[in-house]
Amino acid sequence: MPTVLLIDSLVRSLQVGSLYALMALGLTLTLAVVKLPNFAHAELITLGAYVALVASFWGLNNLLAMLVLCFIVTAAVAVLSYKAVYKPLERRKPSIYTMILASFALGLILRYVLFLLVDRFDFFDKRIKIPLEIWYQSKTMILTNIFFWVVPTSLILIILLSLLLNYTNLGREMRALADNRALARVQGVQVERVYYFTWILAGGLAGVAGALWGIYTSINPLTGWLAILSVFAATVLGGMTSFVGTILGAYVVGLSENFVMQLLNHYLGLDFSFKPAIPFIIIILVLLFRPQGLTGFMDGFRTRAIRRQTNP
Amino acid sequence: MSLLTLEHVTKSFGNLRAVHDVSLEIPKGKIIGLIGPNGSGKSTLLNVISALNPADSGRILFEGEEISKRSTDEIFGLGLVRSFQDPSLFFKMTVLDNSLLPVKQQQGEKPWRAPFHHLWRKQEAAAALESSRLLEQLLIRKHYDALASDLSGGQMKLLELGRSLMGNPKLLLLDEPTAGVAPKLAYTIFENIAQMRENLGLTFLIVEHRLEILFDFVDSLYVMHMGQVLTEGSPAEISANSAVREIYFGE
Repeated sequence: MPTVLLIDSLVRSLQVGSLYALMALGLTLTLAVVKLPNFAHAELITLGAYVALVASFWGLNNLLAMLVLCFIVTAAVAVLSYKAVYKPLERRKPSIYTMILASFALGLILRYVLFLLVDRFDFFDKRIKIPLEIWYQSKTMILTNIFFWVVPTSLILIILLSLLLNYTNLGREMRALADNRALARVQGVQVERVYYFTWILAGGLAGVAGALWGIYTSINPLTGWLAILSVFAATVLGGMTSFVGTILGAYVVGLSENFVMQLLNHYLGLDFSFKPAIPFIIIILVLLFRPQGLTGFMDGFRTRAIRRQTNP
Repeated sequence: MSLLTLEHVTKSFGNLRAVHDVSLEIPKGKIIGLIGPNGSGKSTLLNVISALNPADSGRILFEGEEISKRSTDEIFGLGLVRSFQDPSLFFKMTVLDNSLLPVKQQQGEKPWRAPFHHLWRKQEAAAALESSRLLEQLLIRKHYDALASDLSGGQMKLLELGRSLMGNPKLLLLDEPTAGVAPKLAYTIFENIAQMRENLGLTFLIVEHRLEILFDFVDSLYVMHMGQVLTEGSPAEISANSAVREIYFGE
């Protein structure tokens, strides 16, 4: 296989994997802490992409400001959806299926509102207006400014989130809620407050991921919905509620969809149109053979900073 | 003076009256036992007090204040801490994390403070030191960096006891603190409880089936049967009570 193709697919794997990780972390957060498989997460991703798109059409070309704006808008929508839909539902002690259907419904509503607006203002398949620059070039590889935005931003956000979860009191409360909700409540965790914060984080990260996705490729109102399958695959691969597992899962899915797909295409002649099947295959294989996902050998959060202080 | 007072508390699930017209008083600084056959409503009563299953009717007073309408975390905040029958720990978290979670007024719990380590580092270190001292006393200090799921059954019970103390409680509701524990360790657990009462002036309400150990440590006992309080009295009175002997031993 030509080296150019090989390296190109690896670069894409890294780029897509990082974005999947951002999206999947938000999904895992709501799944683990709030116990809700939020299918409307897809629409938060799309919304983030469109907020960035509109902002860029209005002349905002500072990428950082754009990402902050996306974070705020999608976090607000996520909090609103919790307050307006999930929280009133939760008071009736619904089954998990009710919650899944509600999130589906909310996702549909958001998606078609987006369709209406996008149609009205003709924003189909547009790219966010960021001038493309080549920052690194060699015989085998071309890296644009987009690569240098997408990958480090994702990695920084992933690291910040891990620090928050593993090293702060707030993160400890979130992990406790993920672990055993009834116990967390009798241990004095203020559940509502932690829930709101979780929705802000999950929504905001989805928005930022959507915006970065829109820089990397063109967007339409189905962008998030198409990505969400890969994102769910990453979450399932991570064992549903493990944060480290989710990050690993996201990169595995990114690699499978790009690098492995490239290999299959080159050596077995498999057409690229099979690419959307890969997340499904991953989900099925994981559920069949390793339902606990990648966790197990990656488990265990340690509070190292504290160990140093108390164990001389 | 009575720390916790229940007046005519009732809780039903559908047609089942799990707790029916229960009134009891827990005086400050005492260790009170709560016994009764399986299904007599002991655990439900603890759930009602800690607001996991709020009461249908009746009044619950803690330090003279009505708490039956309060939420679970508010009740914890007042100093009323409970434990569960099954080992209830955060199994995916370390022993240390488990013991630090209930610490009250943690600065780093607020979203706008959490990212700034220097704002809450001191408090966290003090709490960790306190926890380390407590775990030392409970003989599980050397495991404090292990996952809670890796502890043995007895160590889990010890950790639960230690964790209850980290929330700065006034009254502890313990649901079978020695369930599934070897007799020798069960005795140690009760010795620790007696010591905590002695040193910290805590009050305990303990549900327990090991009467032979329980009778050595409690000041008085309530006996529940079919959701109602059958009788109360000192260990000597209770073991002499023929009605209690009948429901417990079938004599």
